[in-house]
Amino acid sequence: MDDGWVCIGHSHVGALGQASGGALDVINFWDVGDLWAHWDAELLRPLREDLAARVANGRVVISAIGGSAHFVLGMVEHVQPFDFVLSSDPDLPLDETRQLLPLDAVRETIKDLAMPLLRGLSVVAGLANGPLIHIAPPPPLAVVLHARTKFEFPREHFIGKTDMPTPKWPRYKMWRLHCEVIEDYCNQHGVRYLDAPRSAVDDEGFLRPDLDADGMHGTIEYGKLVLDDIWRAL
Amino acid sequence: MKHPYAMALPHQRWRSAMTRCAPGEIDPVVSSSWRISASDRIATAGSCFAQHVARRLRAAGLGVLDTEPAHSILSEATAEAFGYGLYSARFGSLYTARQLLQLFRRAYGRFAPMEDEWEEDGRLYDPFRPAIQPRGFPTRKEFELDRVRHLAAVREMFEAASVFVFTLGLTECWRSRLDGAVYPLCPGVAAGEFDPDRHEFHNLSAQETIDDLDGFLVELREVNPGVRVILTVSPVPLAATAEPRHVWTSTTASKAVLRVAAEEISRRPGVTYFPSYEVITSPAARGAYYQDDLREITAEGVDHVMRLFFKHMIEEDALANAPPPEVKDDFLERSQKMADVLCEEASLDPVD
Repeated sequence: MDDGWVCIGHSHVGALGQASGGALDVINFWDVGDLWAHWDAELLRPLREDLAARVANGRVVISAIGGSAHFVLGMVEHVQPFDFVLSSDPDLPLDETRQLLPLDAVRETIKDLAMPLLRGLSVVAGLANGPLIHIAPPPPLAVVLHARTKFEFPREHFIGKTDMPTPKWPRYKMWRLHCEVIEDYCNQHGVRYLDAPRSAVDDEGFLRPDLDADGMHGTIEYGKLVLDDIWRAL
Repeated sequence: MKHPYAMALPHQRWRSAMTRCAPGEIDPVVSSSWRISASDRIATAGSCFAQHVARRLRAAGLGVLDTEPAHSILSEATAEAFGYGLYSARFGSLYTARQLLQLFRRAYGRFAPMEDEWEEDGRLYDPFRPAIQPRGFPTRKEFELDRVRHLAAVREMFEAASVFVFTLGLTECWRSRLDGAVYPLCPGVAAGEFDPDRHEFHNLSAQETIDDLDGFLVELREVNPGVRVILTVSPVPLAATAEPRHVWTSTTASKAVLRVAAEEISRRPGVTYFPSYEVITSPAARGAYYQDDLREITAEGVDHVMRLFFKHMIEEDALANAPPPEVKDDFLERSQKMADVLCEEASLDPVD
């Protein structure tokens, strides 16, 4: 069903590739490395040409480039907890015991995190001949069960509370803001943006727990829902 | 009996004080009656020149108050663009003594300006710090919550400071015809819309400036009896004048008024005048402390001022005892690494 489709990007391509049953031509940047930062390097010419040809030949190109900025920001609780008012949904819960940050300043932080990877999307846009669709990263979970303490970071040197995720609403707003940043970028570069599947979220907008792989990525089932949405969008 | 000038000290005579030492050695401070110690909590406010003072004191490890600090996830550029870290709270530049008094009264609920928000393109701007956020506030909720927290931070600053450094910058201001509220910038310049029915120009006199500073000191000491005050006058000329005369004439008039007011107020107990204005504008400097635009101060000029500030206003052992600079927050870098680990695992082995 997805013959001739290409899926390019970072870790979120894994679930989509598996969900397609191997039909997708998956270009995973965890395999090819940080190509965008060295796009013109002569050493990378063979890799670049191969990638360019695959993207150019894709009947449909799905981008899952980047997608971790909100997670980086909210995966664990900062020692100075913060919150913000999301302008697109200002009535979302706000914890007034936390430091209130200007929305636009948080947006700048997310852009700082997202842009180094997202710039690759404009390169892909220049290569693709078929429809190019960029997918939103999976929504956050309401309740994070995955213990981050397995990462052995010396606590005295880390300002985050490694055993405590950021509460759900600030995390949710970080994800929404990240999605807005991505969508803006897509609009600026003529790329179609696709939100996370509605069927993948609960009543409050959080990812259904059964679709969560590791607190950050969607399962193969989530990948199937995304592919279904892409089909419908096309 | 000898006449009084016969006993004048070298710093009191022009020739010895101004012509017999290198320009960079001119020292109009001479001495000070008190100094800042390592345990002091220094608040800074005023016109743009005050930023230099805060930056240098902070760099030296002295206790510069910041009661409304940037969150450490913000980059330096973002923090600065959003008005963090420039002064001791996020109030932006306070050019006039009237603004300072008004800020105090607003913080303590003693004055509530009638025109206290401007709307433009669906965004809200704070008339009393219109440039504090590059594009204003995107929602009323953020605007109102931020103001409440901002004014709480201002109160904390006034109450926690043991030394308050204020740099007087201007006498010309724009104010509301409704209730006399003054704005840091003319409505319409950074935000808002100028309306001659609601806004008027006012050039504060020496007496008004003295009264405003006096009023501020009285009210400040109600909440913080022990605070000491250092007054300076900004040597930065006016960017433009609203008086129908040459901008340089307005600059000299404005600086003269501020200098007179600072002189008068520095006679009050616990108030010191620090002559940064004199250092920069001294004939000995021959204008070399001004950049090519003849307004901004060169790094050498700031160096000269701050060298004297440290020499005369800071206790010698304050610097030796200054706490080490804060360790940079690497939260985002480390979180990124943690996310990368998860991403690498997920890309290799997606979960069914």
